[in-house]
Amino acid sequence: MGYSYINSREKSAFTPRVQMLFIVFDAVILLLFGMYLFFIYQDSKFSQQMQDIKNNTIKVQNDISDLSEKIKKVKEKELFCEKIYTKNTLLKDSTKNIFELFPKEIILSKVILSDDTLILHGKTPNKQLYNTKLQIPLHSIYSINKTTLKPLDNGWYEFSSINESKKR
Amino acid sequence: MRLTPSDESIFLLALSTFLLILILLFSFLILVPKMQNYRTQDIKLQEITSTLNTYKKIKQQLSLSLEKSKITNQHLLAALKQDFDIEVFYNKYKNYFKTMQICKEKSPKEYDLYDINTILDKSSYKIFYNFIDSINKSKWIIKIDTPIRLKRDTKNDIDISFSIKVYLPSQSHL
Repeated sequence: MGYSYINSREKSAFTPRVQMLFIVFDAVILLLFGMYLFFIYQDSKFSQQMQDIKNNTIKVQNDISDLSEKIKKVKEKELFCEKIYTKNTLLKDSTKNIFELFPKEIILSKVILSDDTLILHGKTPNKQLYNTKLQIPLHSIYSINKTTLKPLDNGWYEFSSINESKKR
Repeated sequence: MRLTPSDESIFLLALSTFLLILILLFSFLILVPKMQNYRTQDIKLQEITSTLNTYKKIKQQLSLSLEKSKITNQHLLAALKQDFDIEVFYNKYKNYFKTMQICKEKSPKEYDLYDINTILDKSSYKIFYNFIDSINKSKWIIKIDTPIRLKRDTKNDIDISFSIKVYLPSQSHL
């Protein structure tokens, strides 16, 4: 048996093939870990985004209820004013009707106009004129008519008429 | 010929198997649940973003509606903010009548009540209609109250007396 004079080379566990294996697995593990970190980052980002969106939604919902309330108030104001304007216009029309209703022959001395009542005082040359030209139109407007006619010395009649409608 | 695996090959096989198991465990136990969670959260985020966008559209429509309503009712809204000035009212409307007197009455909280006594020329009674039309266009919210009393006076003119209700901003009628 012969002996070699060459020193034995040192053997390492990290042979080129093992090193290659480590490189491949390292790359895979690095990639997977990178993905894991990405998901963790996204997770925290989602939580933040969701919280922001939820806060935003609450704010927008509050704005919507505020706007609805404001619109409601404007509508209420509009309705309120329209009601007043309509009543004024109706009053104007009622006054107009009364002035136009009276024949020239009948002299009015006093008129009291309410929402559903009309009180008239005046003078008429005769009963027939009053009945045909005033009583009939009044009767068509008001459901209750109470009229008193008093003869005057000059042959005319003084009348007092209370007219009411049952609208209310 | 019989192949016998070298020590290195056995080491490599064992190491590969170990690393593969490690990777599979990491993937299925940690990475896959994370990925599923990511997808779920992404869908949820899209849903709530869509809800937010719907609310934003509603808000925009309501804002437009409010602006439109404000523009349409500009006169009314301005009138409800306007303080009543009896002097201005008198100077503006005295010309409709021969004479005009206005005095403030005791009023409830909702409005201020004023009594108006006027004398109108018999031939120009139509001016009273113009007066009412003008009241409806005035810078205050005024309601002509009933009863309206019309009386023929000695000069054959018409005495008209009535009340007006003036709705003021400070009063809580709305």
